[in-house]
Amino acid sequence: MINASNSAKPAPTPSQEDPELLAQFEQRISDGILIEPGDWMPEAYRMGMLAMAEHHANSEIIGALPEGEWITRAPSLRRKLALTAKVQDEVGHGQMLYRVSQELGKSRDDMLRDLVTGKTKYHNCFNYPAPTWADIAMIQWLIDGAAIMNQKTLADGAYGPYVRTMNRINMEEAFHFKSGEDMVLTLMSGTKSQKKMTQAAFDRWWPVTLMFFGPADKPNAESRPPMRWRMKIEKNDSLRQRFVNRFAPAAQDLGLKINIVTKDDQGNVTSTTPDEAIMLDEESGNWTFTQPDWDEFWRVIRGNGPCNDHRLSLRRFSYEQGGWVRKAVGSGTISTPPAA
Amino acid sequence: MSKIREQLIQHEGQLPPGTPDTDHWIVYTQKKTEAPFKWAGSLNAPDTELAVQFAGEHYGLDEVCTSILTHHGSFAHDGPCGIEPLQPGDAVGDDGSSWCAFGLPRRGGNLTLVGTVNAPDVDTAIARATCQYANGKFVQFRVVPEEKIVISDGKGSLIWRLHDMTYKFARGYSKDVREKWTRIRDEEKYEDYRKEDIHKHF
Amino acid sequence: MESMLSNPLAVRILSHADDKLMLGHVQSDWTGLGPILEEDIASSAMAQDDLSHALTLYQYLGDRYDLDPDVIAFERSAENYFCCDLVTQSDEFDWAGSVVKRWLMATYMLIVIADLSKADDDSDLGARCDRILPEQELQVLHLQRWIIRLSNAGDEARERMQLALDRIAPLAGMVVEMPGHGPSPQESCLIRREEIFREWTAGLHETIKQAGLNATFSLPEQTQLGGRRSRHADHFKEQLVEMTEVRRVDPGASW
Repeated sequence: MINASNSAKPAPTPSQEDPELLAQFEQRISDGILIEPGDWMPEAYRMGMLAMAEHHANSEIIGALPEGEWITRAPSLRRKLALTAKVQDEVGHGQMLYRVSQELGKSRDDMLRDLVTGKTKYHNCFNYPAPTWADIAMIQWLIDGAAIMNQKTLADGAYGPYVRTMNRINMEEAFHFKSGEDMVLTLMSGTKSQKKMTQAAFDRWWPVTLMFFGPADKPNAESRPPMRWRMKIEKNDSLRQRFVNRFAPAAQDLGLKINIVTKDDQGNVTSTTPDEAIMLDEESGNWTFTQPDWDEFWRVIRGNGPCNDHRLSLRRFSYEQGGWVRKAVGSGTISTPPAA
Repeated sequence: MSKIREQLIQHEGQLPPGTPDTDHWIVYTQKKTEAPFKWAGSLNAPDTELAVQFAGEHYGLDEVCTSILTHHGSFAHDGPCGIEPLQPGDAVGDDGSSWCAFGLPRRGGNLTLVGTVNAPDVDTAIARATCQYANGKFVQFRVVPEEKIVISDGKGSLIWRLHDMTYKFARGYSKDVREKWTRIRDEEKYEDYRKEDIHKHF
Repeated sequence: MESMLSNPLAVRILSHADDKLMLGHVQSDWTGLGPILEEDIASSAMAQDDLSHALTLYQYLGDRYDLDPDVIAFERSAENYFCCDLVTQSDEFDWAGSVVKRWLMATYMLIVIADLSKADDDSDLGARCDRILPEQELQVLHLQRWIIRLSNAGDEARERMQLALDRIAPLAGMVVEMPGHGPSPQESCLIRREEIFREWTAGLHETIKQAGLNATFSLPEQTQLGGRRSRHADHFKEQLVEMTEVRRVDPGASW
């Protein structure tokens, strides 16, 4: 097995690849032909797809943690069942995406180790706390709603195994989103305290969801490999705009106020002011909005978010605690551990 | 929340030694009796017993499922993947052992069990599968020795559950969600909002 | 609620439903933290089965006593839960403890659910239990295989499995404690108590032998009181507080 992250040799850059094969590969991509594992592909493409699938798998595995905190507290048997199934789906998605990555050359064990030792990353949005039941509703409505928008485009990507997996995952994302929508609708049709709890959760998650799509792309994104090779399909700002167009009017109709918020280091909202920019621009058909705090985004992605340490330490606990079981079912041959 | 989830666990030192990944198994599921087996996913397991259990508890419960077909990854032999659908060719013959043939309908699509061929070796099996089943409908064939395939049909050990599982599917919420939305929004606005839904799953 | 709680058959069904609720409650908390991704998924599916079985039995009682199944599940005081002590034990996220506990309970539940499914005078209960049975059989098979596999997988795994069994086996006999508040449990149920214990432990010993483990199970004295007679450990009361945290935010609200 090649361990991509520990590989001594750097991957060839596109200019070092066989120009004829590279041209043929790029022509296929621009003709909309999908790449299957037996096809020739540039090393940078393989590495890029591996990094993307591994990051996605890590995000599913870590994404199971904030919602997992609420399984024991779900307020009805049906909600308890649904939340358990939802978190279980995230683990299943992680398993499938690690499989895609394994076939691109990195072992699952190495990926799990790199995750818990901080060598690889996962999605930033899971570094925020979920202090109430309404946060679970918001994660499923807003974050899963955003994930569906993103993953629908990824299912139009160029790498066959990732596309296949994405289509299966999206089937389950549809459940996550509908379940979240049902929870939000129930809470906002409920009592005064339920509505208050929901507004507070919305204040916490609206800016996080705007950040979900990532910062604005570089000006020439279309000509850079991720988009040129159809690993990434739509620009971050375009996805963000589509998200706001769908969710801003929906939130308002539900009675939720879209606020600009400030937060403390623990992710608690310390002040709210109405986002006056929220309105429909009749000419473009788009809803205008205030950008989230991108300084906060960079702070959290560098490891200084409210829950970064917590998520990684729990994931590491799980990895260490389960070691004897993996050893028991495995071949018994223990690999030399890579430096932690 | 449980105490373990609540506390910030302090870890010291390096991680304990790792364990090698267990073997790769490929899983195909059948949605109803007589329907073809279609690729569902892959998993890691050390042996057939666990592979079949894991396949059932994951892929057998993702969507309605009557049977599961599982085989070790090393028994999958893939022919070349065409850009255009493959044409039948002329590799006719009936000698050799039995192989299951899976066809890939398009790049990025899901392998589907199309039937069996007899052949003395892998290359002949792929050529005969192409000859017999291509018909301009598949871009690639995979062959797997039939004796290496495990099929669980749920009769010995349950796959799909008997209790109400609507809680884990989008369609279990669609009606309620529509009713709740249309109490506060008109149909037209709701339909516009629903454009981003993944409609085929409701 | 009172009429349900004063009916011996309803209390017996309630005790099984409460066992299932607490088994599912503790095991579903493992989702996302299991030792192997594939088994994380499998054990979560079985935790969902347990919670669904609890719901099935609460629905049966709800239909008879005109009660919302969620009210039965979440709105009783601690002394009106009749789950046994085994299911409320925390496994502290030790996989050996989790597997041993679930295996003991699954094999016991298989016997009692089969018993209920034969309820001649109640076809509704029988039909509901008939649907639970194949799922229960699946759990038993899955967990038996894990017990045997882990116990035969080298020194460390065997030691962990034996330790878990040593810790849990002394509590196990209390599963056959007669449930309820009444001073003298029904005679017919008492006879079944011994029969069930014999049938259950005979099955356990077969697996224990294949696993190469050691365990002794004993039928507790009837004077020994535990969870089924409302003598719950403090940790159960904490679990109940946690389980109802959201509902108590706004009692009566729809969630």
